[in-house]
Amino acid sequence: MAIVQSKNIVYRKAGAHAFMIAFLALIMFPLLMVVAISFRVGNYSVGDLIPTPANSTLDHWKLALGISLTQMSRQSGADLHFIDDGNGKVIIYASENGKGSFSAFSTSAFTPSEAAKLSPDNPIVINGQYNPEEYDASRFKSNNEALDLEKQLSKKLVVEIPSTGGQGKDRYIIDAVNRDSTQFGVYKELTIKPPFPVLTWLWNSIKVALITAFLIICLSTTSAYAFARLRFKGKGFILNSMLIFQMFPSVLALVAIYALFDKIGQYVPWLGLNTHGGLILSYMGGIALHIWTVKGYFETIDGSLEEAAAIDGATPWQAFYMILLPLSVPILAVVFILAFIGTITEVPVASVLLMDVDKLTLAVGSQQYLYPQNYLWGDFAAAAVMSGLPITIVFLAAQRYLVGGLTAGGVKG
Amino acid sequence: MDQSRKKSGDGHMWGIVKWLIVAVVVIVNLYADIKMYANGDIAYPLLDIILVGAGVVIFTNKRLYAHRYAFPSVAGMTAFIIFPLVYTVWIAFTNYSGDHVMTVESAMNYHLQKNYKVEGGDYDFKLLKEAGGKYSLFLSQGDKFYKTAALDLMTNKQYSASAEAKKKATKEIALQEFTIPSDQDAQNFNPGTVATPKELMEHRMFLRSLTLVVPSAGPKLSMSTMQRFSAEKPKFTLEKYGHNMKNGTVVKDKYLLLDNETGKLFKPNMETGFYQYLDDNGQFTGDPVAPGFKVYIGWDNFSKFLSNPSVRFPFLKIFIWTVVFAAFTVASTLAIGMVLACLVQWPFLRFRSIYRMLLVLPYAVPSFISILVFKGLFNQNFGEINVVMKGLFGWMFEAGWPGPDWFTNPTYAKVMILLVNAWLGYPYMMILCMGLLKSIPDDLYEASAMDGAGPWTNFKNITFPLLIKPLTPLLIASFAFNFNNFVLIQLLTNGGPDMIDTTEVPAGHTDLLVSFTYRIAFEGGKGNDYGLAAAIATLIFLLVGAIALLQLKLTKQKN
Repeated sequence: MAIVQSKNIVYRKAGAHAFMIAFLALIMFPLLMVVAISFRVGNYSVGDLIPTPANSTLDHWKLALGISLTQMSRQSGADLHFIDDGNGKVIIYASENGKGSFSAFSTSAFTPSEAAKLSPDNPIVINGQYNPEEYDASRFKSNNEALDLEKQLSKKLVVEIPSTGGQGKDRYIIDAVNRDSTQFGVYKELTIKPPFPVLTWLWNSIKVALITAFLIICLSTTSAYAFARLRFKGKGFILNSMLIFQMFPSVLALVAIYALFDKIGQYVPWLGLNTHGGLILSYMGGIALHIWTVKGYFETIDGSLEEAAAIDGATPWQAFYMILLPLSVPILAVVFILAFIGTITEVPVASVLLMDVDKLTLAVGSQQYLYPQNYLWGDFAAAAVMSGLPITIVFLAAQRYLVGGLTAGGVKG
Repeated sequence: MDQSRKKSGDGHMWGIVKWLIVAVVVIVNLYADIKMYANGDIAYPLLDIILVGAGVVIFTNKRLYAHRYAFPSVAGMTAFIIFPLVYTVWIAFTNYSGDHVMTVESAMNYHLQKNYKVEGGDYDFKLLKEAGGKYSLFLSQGDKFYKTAALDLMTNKQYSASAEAKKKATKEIALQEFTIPSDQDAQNFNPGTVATPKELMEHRMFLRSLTLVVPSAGPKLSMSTMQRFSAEKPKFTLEKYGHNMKNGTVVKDKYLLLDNETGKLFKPNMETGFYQYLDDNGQFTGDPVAPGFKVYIGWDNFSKFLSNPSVRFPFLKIFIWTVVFAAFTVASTLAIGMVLACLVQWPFLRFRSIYRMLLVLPYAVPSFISILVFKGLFNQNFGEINVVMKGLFGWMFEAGWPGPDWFTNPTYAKVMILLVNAWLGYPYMMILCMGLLKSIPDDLYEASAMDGAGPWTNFKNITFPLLIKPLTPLLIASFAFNFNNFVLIQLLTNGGPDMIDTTEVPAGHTDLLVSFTYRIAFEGGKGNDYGLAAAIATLIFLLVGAIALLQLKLTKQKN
């Protein structure tokens, strides 16, 4: 613009930048915060807002990726005792003061030098029953000797005992209790399983959204072709009523939708309740906006190409399939992405139609992280970043193309 | 359609195949429809007939060629939007709820399955082991003895494994009279190897499903305790063709039942949706008997809004909040979005594209994720927002101030919802404004600069008036969308904090009409009142329909 600018434009520019940066800081706060939380220890914010190297962890990410964690939990009250068996070998026994799941165990005799060979894969096996009084008599007299052995065994000694609660084995490990390694304790290895199958949910969401978006493309292009090019009775009426009916929120008809799919499921089980087929089918109702978008695009394409094809003997289907469709790839991409994102973020219908934990979509399942009685804030943050990032990137990459599609009348949730 | 089909021979083949497919589709669907109709459904077979019928007509009739292209999407729309809509409106006129789930017929069948114990019909039984892993039952009553043939029993596990197993198990078994040899003592007769109690326990489900028939038209027995089979008779019989009362009148009803135990009549009360006993004058008497069934109740659900203060009060409150929420959201997102769009399009500003990309970010993140992120951030005890709030404003309050209680204080909860929705919604408005700003010709600004106008004057007199007109239909759409913004409320507050003064329906201070409807229908505790929910839904349909028509009209004017 060839306009002479007033002198205060420098201040105005500086002001605009300052406003932008302040506003962006406010806007980005939740997004940055959730990334930070996904690396923070624990599920509650105590102390630091931003994780420092000292209190950051990848545990939430491991759980989000479906990897079980092993955690060491100190068995308080479990004491270590070293016993000289008289032949230069050592027996260890540990006991707990009666309560809890950890009971006393003793190891078979081994020479102290063997301790170096021990590893989680090569544990010491318990020796069954023992008589504490007998052992007490031959307990190591020197504390230093015992401490030496403890240091050698630290983080190495693994004792396996058949688990108290059924199958599997409980593993116990010796580790220092304090930093300067003057005291050692017995730790129990706990396996923490991922709370929810996030990857399965993400896969469900992507699967349902891809199929839905593909089917929506098929249905909306053929319909849009009819509305844009062909002449038939009731065209305007169908178009307008489609647009109006599209505005009714499906939440309000959930009882009916549930009943409908319950009935469908009695005859075609793979399209019934609690199936992805049924969910995809239910999304086939909401395509009016996409039809309008595609129709608008078709109308900008000159019809003479198809007319020429028709003169050469092409059927309307051939004209549509071989001429019009290849010309409309940009709008097909827009509709595909809009349908994909719309499906991924849909909550009400999916939450009513799907029931099994393994069948849920991400949008339905991720609510379960933040129930007051089971509040997994840190785990949720990792799962949210992991699953939200790919969708966000797809959206940003496609954003330029989407603006046109959005202004055509769509509203995103 | 490839070229080969045009050759006459292939064309002929294709025609036959086509008609075969049509015939199969029609027969399969008709069979299903008849089956559904026989089960008492009307709506579903009707929907199926309409859709399949229209499909067959359109795809076989050459003159309706153009309709073939539009049919699939119209059919999808009919099945999954219009049908649920009509169905919902129909529910609004019924008492469909957690207590009234079934049809009258199902309720009748439920009652018809009831039995009552006939006095003196108890038979002691023993489970006997037979050869080859089989068992038999030995029954005794007084000096009469009966025995079954050797049976294959199912264990409880096998029995409950599948519905087919259950069906297979449930059958009638004839008893044979058993005479005790005269040299044996009838009192202490030992009929064979008695199975252990454990074996009896293991097969009890199967045994329970058996019906034993006492010979020569005796009563039918079923297991009543672990030692006993008892004669039971059906409690009700269907009096399809009416019943003559003592006072000479005839009571007629398709679903009229007669209580065999008391001799009273038992009739469905089509006003309350329950079965009830009749007195001698044919009037309903006594308590209604569950299960309830669906009945048409006219405008009752709608009049609840007017007559019942414990429904009317929350409804009005929620309605006002819904309008305020939608209007405020449209206004705030539009204001933020428009200002940002103007700034981002300002040619003198550097790093515009970076700003633009970052500003769109809240729109790019899937909304269900960002809403849940806010739910965590706003958490009163562990949320990061309160940590920041305490740092910033803690000095104004006494020590130990926990920060605002976002989820329990109605005002704070509403503020939180408005803030979060502004965050979620402004990028959409910004994108719209950016697109429209491009269409404003530059010479307007040049002319105003000549007149010495500042940026505020430019915005007020050029930008805003030129933006607002094409935006109007989109703003209305945005209003309608937020009016029904279920996901935000459901994920963020679930409607809470709950209103205290409502006893009949679940209602919260942040509930929108849609989430209120959803809670009435699906939230337990206060009963699932599908009828009332559908009535509110119908009102919202009318409202949304009006908004949609308005928008359509405005869009047409623009074009």
